[in-house]
Amino acid sequence: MSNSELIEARRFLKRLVFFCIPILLYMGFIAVCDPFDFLGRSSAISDAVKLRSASPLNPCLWKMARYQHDLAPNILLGDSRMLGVSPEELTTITGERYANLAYGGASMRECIQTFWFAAHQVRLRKVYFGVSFDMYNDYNLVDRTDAYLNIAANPTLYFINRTVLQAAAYSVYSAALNKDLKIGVPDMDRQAFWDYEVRGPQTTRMFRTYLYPTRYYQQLVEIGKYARQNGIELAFVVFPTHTDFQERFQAFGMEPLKERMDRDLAAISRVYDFDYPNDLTRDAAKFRDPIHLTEPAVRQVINEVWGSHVKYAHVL
Amino acid sequence: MLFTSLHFLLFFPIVAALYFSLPRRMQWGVLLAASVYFYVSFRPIYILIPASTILIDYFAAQAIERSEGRRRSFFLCVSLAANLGALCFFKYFNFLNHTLSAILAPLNLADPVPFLKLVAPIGLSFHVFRSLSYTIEVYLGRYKSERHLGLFALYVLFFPELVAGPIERPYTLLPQLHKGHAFVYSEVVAGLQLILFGLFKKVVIADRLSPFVAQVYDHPAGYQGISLVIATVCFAFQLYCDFSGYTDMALGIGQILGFKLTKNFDRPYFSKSISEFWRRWHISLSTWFRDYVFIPLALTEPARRIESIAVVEAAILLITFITSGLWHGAAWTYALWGALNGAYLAIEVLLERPVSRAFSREFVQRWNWPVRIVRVGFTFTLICFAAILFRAPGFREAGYIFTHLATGWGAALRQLHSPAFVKMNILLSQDKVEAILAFLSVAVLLSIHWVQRTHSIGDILRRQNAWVRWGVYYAAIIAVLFYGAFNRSQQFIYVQF
Repeated sequence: MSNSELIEARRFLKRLVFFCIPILLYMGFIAVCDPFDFLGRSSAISDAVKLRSASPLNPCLWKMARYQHDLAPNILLGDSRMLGVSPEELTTITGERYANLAYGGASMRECIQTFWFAAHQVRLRKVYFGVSFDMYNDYNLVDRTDAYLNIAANPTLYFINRTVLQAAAYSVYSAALNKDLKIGVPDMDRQAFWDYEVRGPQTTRMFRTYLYPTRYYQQLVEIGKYARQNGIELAFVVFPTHTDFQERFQAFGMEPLKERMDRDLAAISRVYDFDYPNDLTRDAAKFRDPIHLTEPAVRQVINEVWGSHVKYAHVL
Repeated sequence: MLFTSLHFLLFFPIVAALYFSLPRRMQWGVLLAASVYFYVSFRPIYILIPASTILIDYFAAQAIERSEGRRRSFFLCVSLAANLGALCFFKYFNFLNHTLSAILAPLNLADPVPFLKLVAPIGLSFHVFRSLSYTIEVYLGRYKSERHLGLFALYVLFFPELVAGPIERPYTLLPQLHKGHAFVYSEVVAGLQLILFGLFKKVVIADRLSPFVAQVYDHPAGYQGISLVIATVCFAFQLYCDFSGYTDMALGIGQILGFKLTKNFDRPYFSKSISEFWRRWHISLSTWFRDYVFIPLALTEPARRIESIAVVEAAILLITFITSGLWHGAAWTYALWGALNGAYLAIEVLLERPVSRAFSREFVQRWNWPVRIVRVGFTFTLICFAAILFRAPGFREAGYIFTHLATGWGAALRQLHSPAFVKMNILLSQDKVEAILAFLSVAVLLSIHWVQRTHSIGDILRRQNAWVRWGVYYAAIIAVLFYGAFNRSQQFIYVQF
């Protein structure tokens, strides 16, 4: 290199370093915040704050990252209804360690992806798959597990993920001002939310565009086969919905499809079906909203599925 | 190791640092070692393919230069056989076998030749064409054979162009390889700008559009006119951004190292005719076929005997484009895609005179802008129409798309108020935000191309003060990093060719 070249190269490198400073600072910020606990090395922000600010933004990323650090052979899959099942309570009842890998607003696709993710991490023993009719829908293509799976394959993506940036900002805000961000919490009273869930446009659209999930069914058959081959105890739990909601899907002529779902699932493995008119589903006091049970009612479901005190469940 | 991979992000700075810090006479060695490493990172054993064609071409070219008469042709044939043999074996063996099986099936002679489990070597079509142009140029006496085996190997394997071109000619690249290259600040910055623009095209546009296209083209039977048109237009932009994005990155990498590589794209979707489109799309391949297929065919005795030049030109264009179609992929859909483009050009050649007679020069000048817009729109429509064959998995799917492009429009317009219909048929089951980002990024690209008609973006940036320049760079980096579709397949479409 000649002298003039050396001067040019130095000028370039100097500017490159200056140029990279904000980028490095940003990466440092993400590493220190580590909002999804993916790196698992920073405790600058407490777990409680991260849970409140990061997990609602991408529960799959949150749970899968944590599961990677703390593997359990028994897992719970499903949507917000299974999310209400406390793994600690299950441990008390069964004496076995459980991980709850259910996500709010989960799709079948996400649950199936999560099953395979967990099956690749650890030798699974028991898998409880929370399935509900509104979730068992081919039209629901949501997949948030992609984010974690891609980041796990290439960790640099963690630093350039928009959700991670957003979660980091929320975590810092929440930790600095000691304020809770209400992410995904509906701004309605119980009755208004109840009506919205039963008759709202989202529910109407969901039933109108419903597609019986032949694709997902095939993937569940694969899971069933894998479970049998590997000695995994697999069970499906169809959580109860209030009869107001059940009447709504009957109005759309969905009952034969619900029966088909029960039959299909039962052909794969054991099914605990709570979702039919019974004393539990008729009692509005047992529901927070038409599709989510109150805590005592969840305990009833836990007792029936894990404690073997069957009262309401149809065991198929 | 693709340009968008983490592996390359580590590889290139090391290569560049070594390249500039070593004495000039050793620079080629760094580049050759880097190119070999780049090649073997895909599939190490396949290095034997370019290694053998390099040796054959190196000695064949010298033998051609030393020989006269038939011996010259013989050595050229040796080179052609070695290169085309490798290409045919790895790329076309199973395709030809499949075709043979289909022909013999009615005679109950299914699969007379066993199929081979072959994985196409990376960039095979590109380095074979680069090698071929070298021996042909030496044969035609337009270029002297290269005496330095290392430099010749580097010409064939030069890593920025190895995977997807541009397809350099010996007279554009070899003299540059002979020279040492200094570190030039402005060239390095310009190269980085090009890489950034290429990344924007690839990860922000092409990879974002990819699921929209796949949703329809993987199962076209579930869709009607409006969805098929949207997916096809998306594919046109995906293909352009994917390939030209890769080329921009290749050119940028070359520029950082001090090389001026051949421009491969010149805003092709602003072309006013099909012939202009092919002068602006994959320029290095188009000129390759022009120089080594079209012109030699036009100079053959049978072609000379035909009186009508337009008819000869049309027929040879058709042959050239079918060959070009097959170069792109070992499937009859590619051949038909080439044939359709050849037919467009042939029709253009045949209609050139009648059209120029029908529209006076005054008319065209008076209605300059409307005429231009109509021509650009018409050309783009024809290109999109042909692209169906390029993307469709087979003839059945392509046939379905061709026959259903015009169906269901009335029903679609009546259902535009339905969110479910919009989600399924307009957004093609993708997220609304993704659709908006895709639309905006294509709009940004077209705006940049519009400015590029009269100005160089690099020059405009150079004239700004550092704050503006750095602001633009950060904005582009943020767009690439945070709005790039990194979670999706990062394969480049042309890498498979």
